[in-house]
Amino acid sequence: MVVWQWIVDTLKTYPELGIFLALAIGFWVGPRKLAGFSLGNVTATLLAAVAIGQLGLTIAGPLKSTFFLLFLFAVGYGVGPQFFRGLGKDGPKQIAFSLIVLALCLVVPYVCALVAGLDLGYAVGLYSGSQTISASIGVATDQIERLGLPAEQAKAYLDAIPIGYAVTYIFGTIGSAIVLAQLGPKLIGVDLAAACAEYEKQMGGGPGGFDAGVFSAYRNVEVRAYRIDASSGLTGKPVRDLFPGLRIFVERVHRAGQILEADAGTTLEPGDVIAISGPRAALVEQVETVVTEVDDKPLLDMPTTMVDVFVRSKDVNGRTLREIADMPATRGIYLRKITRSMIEIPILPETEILRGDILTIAGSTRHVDAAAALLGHADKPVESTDLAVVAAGIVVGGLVGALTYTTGGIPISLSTSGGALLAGLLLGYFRTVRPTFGNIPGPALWLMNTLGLNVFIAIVGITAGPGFVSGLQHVGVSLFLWGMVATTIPLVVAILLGHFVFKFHPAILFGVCAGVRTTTAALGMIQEAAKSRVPALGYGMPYAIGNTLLTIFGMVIVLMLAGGAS
Amino acid sequence: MNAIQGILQAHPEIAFFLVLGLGYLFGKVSLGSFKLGAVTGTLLAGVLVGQFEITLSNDVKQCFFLLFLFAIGFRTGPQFFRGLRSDGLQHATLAAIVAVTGLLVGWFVTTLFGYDAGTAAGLIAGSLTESATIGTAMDAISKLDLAEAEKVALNNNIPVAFAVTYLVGVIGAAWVLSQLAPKLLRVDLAEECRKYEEQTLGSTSSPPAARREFELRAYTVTRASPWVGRTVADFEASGGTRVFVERMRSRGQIVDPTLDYTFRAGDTIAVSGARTTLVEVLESEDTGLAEVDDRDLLNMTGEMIDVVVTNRQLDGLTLVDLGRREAARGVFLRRITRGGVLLGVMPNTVVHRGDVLTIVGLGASVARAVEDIGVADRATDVTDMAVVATGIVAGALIGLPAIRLGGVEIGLSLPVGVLLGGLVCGYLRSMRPRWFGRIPSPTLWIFESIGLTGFVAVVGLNAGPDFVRGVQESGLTLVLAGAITVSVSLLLGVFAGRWLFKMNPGVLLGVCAGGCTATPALAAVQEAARSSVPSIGYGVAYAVGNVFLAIWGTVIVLLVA
Repeated sequence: MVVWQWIVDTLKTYPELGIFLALAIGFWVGPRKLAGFSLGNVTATLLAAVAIGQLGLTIAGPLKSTFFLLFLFAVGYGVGPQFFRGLGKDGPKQIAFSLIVLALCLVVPYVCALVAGLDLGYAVGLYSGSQTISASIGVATDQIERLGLPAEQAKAYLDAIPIGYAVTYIFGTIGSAIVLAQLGPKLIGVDLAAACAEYEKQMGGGPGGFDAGVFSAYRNVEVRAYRIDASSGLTGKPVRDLFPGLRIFVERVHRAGQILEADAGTTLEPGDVIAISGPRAALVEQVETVVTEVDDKPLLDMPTTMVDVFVRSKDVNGRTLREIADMPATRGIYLRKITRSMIEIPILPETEILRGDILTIAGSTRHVDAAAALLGHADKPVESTDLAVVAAGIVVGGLVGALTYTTGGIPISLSTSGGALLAGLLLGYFRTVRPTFGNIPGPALWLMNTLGLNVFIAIVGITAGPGFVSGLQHVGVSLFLWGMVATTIPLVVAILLGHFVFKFHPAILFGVCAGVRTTTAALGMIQEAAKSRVPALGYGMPYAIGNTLLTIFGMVIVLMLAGGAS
Repeated sequence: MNAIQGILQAHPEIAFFLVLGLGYLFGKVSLGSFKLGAVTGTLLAGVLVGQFEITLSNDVKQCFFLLFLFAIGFRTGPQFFRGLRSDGLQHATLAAIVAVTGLLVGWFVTTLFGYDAGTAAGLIAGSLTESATIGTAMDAISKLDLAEAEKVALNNNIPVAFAVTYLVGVIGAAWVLSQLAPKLLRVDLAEECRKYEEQTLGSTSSPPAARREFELRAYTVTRASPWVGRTVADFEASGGTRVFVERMRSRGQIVDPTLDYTFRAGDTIAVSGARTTLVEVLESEDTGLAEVDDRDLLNMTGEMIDVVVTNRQLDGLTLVDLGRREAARGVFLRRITRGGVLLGVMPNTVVHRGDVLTIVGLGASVARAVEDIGVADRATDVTDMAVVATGIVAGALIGLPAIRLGGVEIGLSLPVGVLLGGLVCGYLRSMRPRWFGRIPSPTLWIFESIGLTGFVAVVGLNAGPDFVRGVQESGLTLVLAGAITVSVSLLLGVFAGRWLFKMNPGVLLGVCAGGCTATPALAAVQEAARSSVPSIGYGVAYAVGNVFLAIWGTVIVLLVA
């Protein structure tokens, strides 16, 4: 008992420990599967926080907003490229479809709330839970605080949100997955697995891309070691003249126990062991007819690298690859990929390189560095995050978002959180076309995403904790049922609409639906049911739009309900 | 201006990010050959933006601070526990030296400028950045034999002196340790830390080398080859080293061969094996195998992966036995790690449960081997937040209990508890990678970086107005006094550690930062060293420094009064 009292006192003195405790429990319970479904980290953290909130901790506001801004910026940054690419030219059909479904996702919960006579707080909770978009809670909170309600009234609304969310979220997740993966295919009478197999055949193989640690066993460009003897005929002249017509390079020479870095003018002596880089075919079929391959660990252990280079040099602008390949600075480097405006273009000798292109080049570190200096700016994969850009983005977005426009007594603004989201979208997009700043490595983005949201959710839960139980008793069952309605109707309509009106391929359709509703759990179930990864192809762009709009709808639904009430 | 102030006051979180953004910008500014660094930059930005009278709650500060402490602990856990037994006492002694010097210099400066007991206590608390000192000093003042009004005056002097010297202490310690000390010691900090990492951890991560230890090559079996008419099984068993026929092209078709397939002249086989074997054995004249470039045949996915041994049947087997297992076909061992230490890959190396094997091979073979060996530890973007959060909470709960001894609370304190939580988790992760979650290093980086700058930003924001007010009240001599106190004690510690204890400079600077409980200085040192080695020295030193500095509150009051 003394220990318990001590723990309670400690948590009250250090409320930040309460947050971490909620995270610890949430992330431990969240992934556990019960009958094929897991609560998910966010809901588990919320419930843990509600339990901890019963102790009556108080946490100051800025912490919540700080993490929420970090989260929204990361969300925007992650989906930015797809969002703008989608807006650009690809898939206007998917955009139109997404917008219609998203409108339903807003209107159906709104109607449910009106019919059920829910107050503002529960209605927002119903919306965010049934559409499983926890990010909208923060945006809605912002908007409620700006409505100019009496403080007590606003607090009551804010505390009701997590109750509505927690009650409706469970079916929001499980229900979406069941509707999309099980019910949906039956509804439109297709065999999902067969449809995916057919689609894969049509497209010639599944989606590409490697996970970390996975690589192709075939290396197009290799480095091999060869022993030079007097009879080879390669000694005594500069290496640039050894194999005319072949783009292969002598990288290093192992001579009398010493390793020398070679350049174009180096001459070879009998007894040297040399490392040559070049296309595998050239090495195997041409070089090896002249000299004997050997294994030489110290010689071949030279650092290599592959980087994206953002072309800025005026000297290179407008030149063909053939010309650029002859420049001395491009000695020993190999071009893997050219990306222009986010689209990969083919590598041909006559391809012209323009400023703003992104070239993926590989080779020994020494040569790559030299070439990158000539071409422009190397975007090396680093572990560090450009926090200056992150912070600046949030500040500018937040300041823009804070500007308020009042119409009909209702203050409308992007809100600071909306501003941060927008800043993230823009920066994420600029990053892909102008990769000279703002690096955020994947794991760091994941962290800002997850930690940002969950700290926010934990604080929401802890703050709402005291009123949670009574609120649940008050609205529990009926709210759960309304949540089912609000989850199911938009999805069923979406499936029918997508199949009969938009005529999506069934393999893609369910991925698109899951994307619009940003429910990754459902995508997993769909892929399991389809025994294929194809549905993921439809997921990306609708997800980007869905994630952005569903979040902002948190504000919209508050305005709709507040407007309706007044 | 007023509009911006209004927005920032209504949304202090935006002010927070403004400080961070400005801080990283300031951090890149160089003054001569000295760089300000993100930590000092953020602090200055905080003081600047703080002039708008923005208050940000301490919860924000604490949250970021705890994440930071956990992360540095996690990163250095393995080295810390290995070094603790041999170096722990040294770290504690040096920390004590720094703390005692701090008291003596503070006392000397006090007599020099003629400060009263309250200002003296504030000076020591501030310049050595230990707020606990304030509490003990106030306690001591209340027990002095003085008139009530005098006591109140003394008490009021403490926070003023603290506000002024605290910023001096934070910036001074960060600058002295990260910039001045390496120059005075004439060492390349980054290089020294890299050396230390190599000594304690074997080698560090290096860029991919051009040479692949294991390769996949395609050979055509020529008419003259002695292998014509013999089976795949014979071929694979022939050399004494492990080579495998992964697939082959026979009459134009790519097929997966069975072990009893007999080679025909003209078959092209894709063979995986050690590069040395392929180049020196298979490609020698008498094998009748001619290397060819067959892109389609060779185009298979390979995978390199860490696997934790959990299968009981493998415990105690040598690598030779392991290589003979059915599931090991087509899989090659790159590294074997036990308890975070690299073992040599020798034929008779014995494998135990819990070892981490780094294996490489084609996708399907690796998958089969993983199933036989245990659990794969795939590189992902995901952080095991459950471990992070649990480590912080558990560490804090261990750190908080304190014993009161003569008015001074002696305990690990919250920061040391959380640091310890990180150290233990990091250590366990290296020993038991299966149970202890992964934190990818970009994530650790962000914890460390934003964790500390976030903390410092709030410190700056909240201290900003007081600092200006304090300077106006008490003048610049206090700034000077603080600067002397912090730099003399740190420099003495640096030289003692270098010439007396012969510590590695990286670790040494960490110990000095710990001795005067200056966490921002630690981060600045790490930034300058581009390594987390300094935090190895920090843990023990911080705990010792914390206790000493808290006692100094009582001592200085008694000395001056």
